[in-house]
Amino acid sequence: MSGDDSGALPLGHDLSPADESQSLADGRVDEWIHAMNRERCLHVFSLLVDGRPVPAAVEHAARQFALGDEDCAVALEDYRTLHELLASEPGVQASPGFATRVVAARTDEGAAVLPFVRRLALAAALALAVTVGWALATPQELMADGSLEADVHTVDHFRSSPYQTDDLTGGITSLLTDPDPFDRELVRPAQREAVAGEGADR
Amino acid sequence: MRDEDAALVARLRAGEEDAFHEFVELYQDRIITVVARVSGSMADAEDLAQETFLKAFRAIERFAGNSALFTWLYRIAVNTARDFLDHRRRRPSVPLDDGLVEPASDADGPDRDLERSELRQRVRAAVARLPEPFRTTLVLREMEGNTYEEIAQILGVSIGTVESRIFRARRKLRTLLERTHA
Repeated sequence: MSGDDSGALPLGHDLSPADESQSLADGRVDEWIHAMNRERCLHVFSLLVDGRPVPAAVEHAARQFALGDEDCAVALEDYRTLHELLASEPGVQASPGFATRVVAARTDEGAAVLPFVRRLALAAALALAVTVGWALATPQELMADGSLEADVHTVDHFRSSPYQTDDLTGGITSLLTDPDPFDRELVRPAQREAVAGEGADR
Repeated sequence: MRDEDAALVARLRAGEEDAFHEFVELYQDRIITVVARVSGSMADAEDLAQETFLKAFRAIERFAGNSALFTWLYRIAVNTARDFLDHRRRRPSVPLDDGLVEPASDADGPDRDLERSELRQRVRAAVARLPEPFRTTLVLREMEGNTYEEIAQILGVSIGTVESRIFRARRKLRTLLERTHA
């Protein structure tokens, strides 16, 4: 490497985004031809090294400029050397079993993606199973208590049969004409008989 | 999209285990190489490459086929390596040349070999010191051999920006080499 042009032009990381986008692709061909300088000359050579298309007039202007600027020729030679060195850099090879490890990691990742959903579903299934099991193991009696039964039978006095509509008028009339309305039968005949039987035993 | 790419993408989307294996084996060396060069860390290269492939597997449904499959994968790899650099916010701690094999020497003799080997070491060190956007662009061009159009696609920038970055990366690299030589 030779020639020192550091400081002559801003380095890459010092450039603003606007500076960065300046290139021949922006269509400033005339400006490049008529105001060729070292930076533009080197830029053109950088494109030529990579086989990029450069307008013939711009290439000619760059070559003409390089004839009078020794550093351009030196820089071009340096670019070629760097290109050769970098292009011949050896690549890196994967270690044995790399592909297998990646595919296994993908499988593990797939398994890890749904743990929450799986756990939630498992918890819901367990809760349902416990609820159903508990309900089946402890059946509840579906009988009303005594007071409710009494109420039901009180209501029954207002209808001629359990399958017919209430006869409120008839029921009330019956109560009014009953000499002892508070001694109505509020229990079924079978229960009454059972109670009577218990009394006889005593 | 190329026919081979289309067939492989279809198999990947179908979840074929063999397709995943084939996909990784097809590109593993190039992906490990590019993430090592962009990140500047040989020690993390395989982890970054694995992350790249896993990201690709997850995103394969969204691969539109506007670019070659490898260009798409390359873009994921470069972004993964750049994210790694952003996360660590520091220069590579493990020299890039660790684990790299020197290319076979030419017939110019041992002195010439030594000189060239030293220059190669200096170039590697200088590349590692380049600012990130310039290092990545130069790596993709000079070391990976991508075209300007491919680089523009991979980095999501214009051709003009690629041209400019490569030129400025070369200038900067040359300056760094002159400083280290001095």
